[in-house]
Order: sequence, then structure tokens, then C-alpha cells
Amino acid sequence: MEDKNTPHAPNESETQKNSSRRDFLKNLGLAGVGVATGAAALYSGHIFEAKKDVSGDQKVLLTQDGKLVQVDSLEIKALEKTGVALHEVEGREGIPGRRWVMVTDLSKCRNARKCINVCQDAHQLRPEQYHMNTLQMQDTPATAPYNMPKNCQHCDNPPCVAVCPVDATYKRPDGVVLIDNERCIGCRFCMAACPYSARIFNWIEPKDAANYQGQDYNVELNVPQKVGTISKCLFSADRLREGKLPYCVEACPNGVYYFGDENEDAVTNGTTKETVRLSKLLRDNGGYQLMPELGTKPRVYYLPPKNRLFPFEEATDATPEKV
Amino acid sequence: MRFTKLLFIIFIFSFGTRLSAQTWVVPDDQKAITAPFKFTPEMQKQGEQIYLKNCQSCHGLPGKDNWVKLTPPPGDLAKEKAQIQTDGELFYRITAGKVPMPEFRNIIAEDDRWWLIAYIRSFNPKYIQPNPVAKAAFAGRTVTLAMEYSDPMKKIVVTATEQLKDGKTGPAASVEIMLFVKRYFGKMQVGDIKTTNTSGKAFFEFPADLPGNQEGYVDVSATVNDPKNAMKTTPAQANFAIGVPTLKPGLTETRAWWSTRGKAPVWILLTYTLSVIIVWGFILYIVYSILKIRKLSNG
Repeated sequence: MEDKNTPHAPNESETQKNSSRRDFLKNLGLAGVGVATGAAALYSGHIFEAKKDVSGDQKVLLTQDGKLVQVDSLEIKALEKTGVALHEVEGREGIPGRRWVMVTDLSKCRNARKCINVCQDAHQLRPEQYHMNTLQMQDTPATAPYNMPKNCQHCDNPPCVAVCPVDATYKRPDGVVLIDNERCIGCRFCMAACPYSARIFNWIEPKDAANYQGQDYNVELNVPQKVGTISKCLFSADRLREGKLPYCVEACPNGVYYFGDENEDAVTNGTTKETVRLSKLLRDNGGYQLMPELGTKPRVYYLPPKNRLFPFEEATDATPEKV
Repeated sequence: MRFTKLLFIIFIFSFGTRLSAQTWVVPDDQKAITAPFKFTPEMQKQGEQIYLKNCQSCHGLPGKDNWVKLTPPPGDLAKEKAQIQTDGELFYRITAGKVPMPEFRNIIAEDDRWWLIAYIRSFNPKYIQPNPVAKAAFAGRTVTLAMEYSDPMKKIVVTATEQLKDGKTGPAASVEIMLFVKRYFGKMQVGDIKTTNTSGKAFFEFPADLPGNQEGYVDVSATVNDPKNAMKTTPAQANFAIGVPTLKPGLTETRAWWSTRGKAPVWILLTYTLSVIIVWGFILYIVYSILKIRKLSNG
């Protein structure tokens, strides 16, 4: 007999109801967890997808060490130029608003050869390689002999630049003529074109090449030097950038060199550090240029070797003339 | 004969004594001067930089004995000859100079000259710095400069004022003033040294043809010419639009024979292009004529 009013009956139906509610809650919970898991999976998948290349546009690039790599176009970031690349840009642009000029006073040169030594140290040159050299001069048998420091004249109409087939040697807006050893193919046209014989060629491995291995090439210093390429006086372009006088100018103990900016009409003596007016210095002392008849318009001026009464001795790097 | 020899020897000796008499004497009051501060390792480092820039070319590196063989010899500054001197003596020699040693008064700032001495002293282990004498104890004239440009007069007017005994300030008369303009590698003196009048003013004519920057501005500074270091001075600095406005184009901006293709002279470009067109035109004309003759022969 089944008594529906017995306390069990409602209990049973309640149990059934309860169990169905419990199941419902259980299913709901399960579904919830499932949805959450699914969503999480979808989301992480989305992140994963987002992390993967989106554009699908693959670029083939050459790395600095010369390897070809494939990179998605979205992953390419522009970098600020540093090291060699920065030197390349700076070295071509020069220092804006300047026109460097050098004045060499021949009456003061006593062949101390300090300019030569410091230049060779700075530019990794062998003792027989000269960016700057002092020549022994005597114009006539009756006139006083003198020493003539001679470097690149940094012409405003440079024949060397005109003949370079690869734009390796170039003139900068600030007047300096530089050579990019990374571009130079070693054809030596510029050496032949230069009427001042200012250029040298690295026929053999440069001095202490091993010490300079891995160093960033600086076009304003020509270091590290490269075998099979040209090198020449740079007016110490790296030092001008720092507001310092060129190596040779500062090393001279006899006050031979003046260096400055033609636009400012001022040159500074490397020894006394005295700054004087360029136009007045040239006018008062009879300043002249080397071989002006060639129309090269040099940026180096010379003051004549007047009052050079001290004796002229044979001097070499081994035995410099007494100063 | 013997007499002439004797005369000759006497002559040589007198010459030698005269040479030695030409030594470089430092005034006693300058010898006693000491640095206004205690030397620190940082100052020595700063001093080293100044030394490498200004002194190394003649004196070589201290302790290395690699100075340049000049007359008189510059000598190694780490050696006893330099180190037995007082700080004041070294300071005086750097400041005043004596041919062939340059005068660094207007080239190296006063503090920097002391740093230089700090560096030179770092090569002397026995050196003990005398107690620094603070500058406040200074008894000489204290001169302050001011500068303005007078448009009607077209002159730079430098006014010198000094601290008077009663604590007031008044015009500083008969002070020697030097005027400088700033250039890329250093200061350039303009005109001669001028002495201030009774109202403490000195007038400088500024050269009409001196280049300034793009707008004609020039950095001008006035300092007191005080070789004996007897005054405590404050220089004046100003920026006046009195120079010639200078904006010269870069040397690669104009078209030139030697420049790259983009900057080649127009006549070269025209002549070259024209000659290429003429030569090729001639060749094409010949080919065309041959073809025409062939056609005629075929016909």
C-alpha cells in the first residue's frame, strides 16, 4: 500500500526534486567550468595567434654579419644609428656652418717632427707613411733653407674627388676632404690626380693590424687602416667634432700651426693657444697657397720663411734637428 | 797670442754668467701664494686632462723624461727641479709664462691652473700641501665688470666697479681691461688693452667686419688685465648683435666639376646628353638608310 501522505512520500519526491536540482546545479557548474576553460583556451590561443606573425608579409634581410634572414615585416624595428653607420653619416655631413682652414708659419718650423709622430700614432701609420711630412727646402742657393710641413691641402676644387670612380673620397660641406676606406677600391686615381702628393697607399698590412681587429671603422680617423686602400690627412675630423685642435697642430712645440674657422675669421695657434684674425694674419705676413695656378683653391695657407737665420741641418726621425 | 786666448776665455765666461743671470725669477709675494682649496684625486684627474692638452707637447709626460729638446729645456715636471718649487711659484710660471713658454693667463682658468698643479704634485710622494688660504682673506682691489653696447657711440662700454673700504661700491679707475670674442677653438682678443677712466668706464671700438653668427650675434667677454694677480676680479660676459651676420653655404652646395652626378654643372649634363643623342641619332640614321636601300633593291 502506498500512502502518499506518509512522510516518506513527499520526502521521496523532494529527494527526486532535490536530486534533479542538484543535477542541474552540477551540470550548470560543469558547463560553467567548461565554458571558462574553453574561453581561456580560446583566449590563450588568441594570444598565441597574436604572438605569431600577423601580417604574413615576410622580408628577407641581410644581417650585419652577412647572413640572409627572413623576418616578418611587423617585427622590423628602426634603430638609431650607432658605431660604423653613425660615423658614415656624420663623416659625410661634417660640422654645419664651418669652413676649416689651416695656416702654417714656415719661419717657425725647426723640424721637431712632433706633428708627424703624433699624426702617425693617431692614424695607425708606419714610420714611412706620412699624412704630414716636413720637406727640406732651399729655393735658391743664395736664400736661407727652411723646413716645410706639407699635408693634404683640402682643396675647394679637389682633383682627387673629381677622379674617384666610386665616391669613396669626397669633400664635406665644412671643407674637409675625406676618404672612406670601406668604399675605396684601391684604384689610386686620386693619388695620380693630387698635385701635392698628399695621399698614401696601404700596399701591405697596416701597422699593428692585429691590435685594431674588431674595432669599429671611423671614417673621420681612417682607423682601422685597410690594406689595399688609400689614406690621407683628415684635418683630424674626429677632434674638430669635439672642439679640439688637430693632433699635429696641438703637438707642435714651435708655434708653427694655426687652425680655425674661415667663417669666423679666426685661427688659433696650437702651441700658444692664442686666437688671431685669419685675414689680418695672412695680410700682414704675406700668406700664400701652394700652386694656386692649378686652381685647386687649397684650404691650407703658408706664411713665408722669413728671418730663418738658424742653420739648416740634416734631420730625420732618428735625429731630429735641435729645436 | 796667449793674451788673445785669455781674452777669449774671459769673453766665454762672461757670456756664460750673463746667460745664467737671465734666470726666471718669481716675485717673493707670488712664491708664498697657496692654492685656495685642498687638492683631491678628482682635481688631479681634471688636471691631467688639462696637462695633456696644454703642457704635454713640450714637457712630455711627467716622470717619463720625454720632454722636447728646446732652449731653454722645458724639463720633466716630476723631477726635483720643478718639485722643489712652491705651489705659488708653479702657479706664477704657468700664469705669466716666459718665452718660449706661453702665457696661460687667458687660456687656462684660475681653478684649472691649480688643478694642473694638483696633477703635477701627484708625481711627488713627499709633497705635503700647505694649508689652503681661503680667498676671502684677500686684501687687494675687488673689481667687478659689467658690459653694455652703446648704439649712438657704436662702442662697447665696460664699466668697472670696486668694493670700497667702507663697504660701498664705486667706480674703479685705471683698471686695465681686455675684450675677447668667443671663437670655435678659443677666445680672440679684440683691439688693445684699454684703461678705465675716473668713472670706471673703458670704451672699445668693435671691428665692423668681424663675423658673428647667423643673426650677427657675438659672444663678448671682458676681463681685467692683472698680470701680477693683485686683484680679485669678476669678468663680464654678454651677447651683442654687432657682428656681421654670417651664413655661408656649405662648400658642397654649389654645382661643381668635381662633385657627384647630382651636383654636376648643368653645361656638363647638357653637353654629355646632347653628344650621346647626336651619336646614337647618327648610328640610327645610317641603319635606317641601309634598310631603305635594301627595300629599294628588293623592289
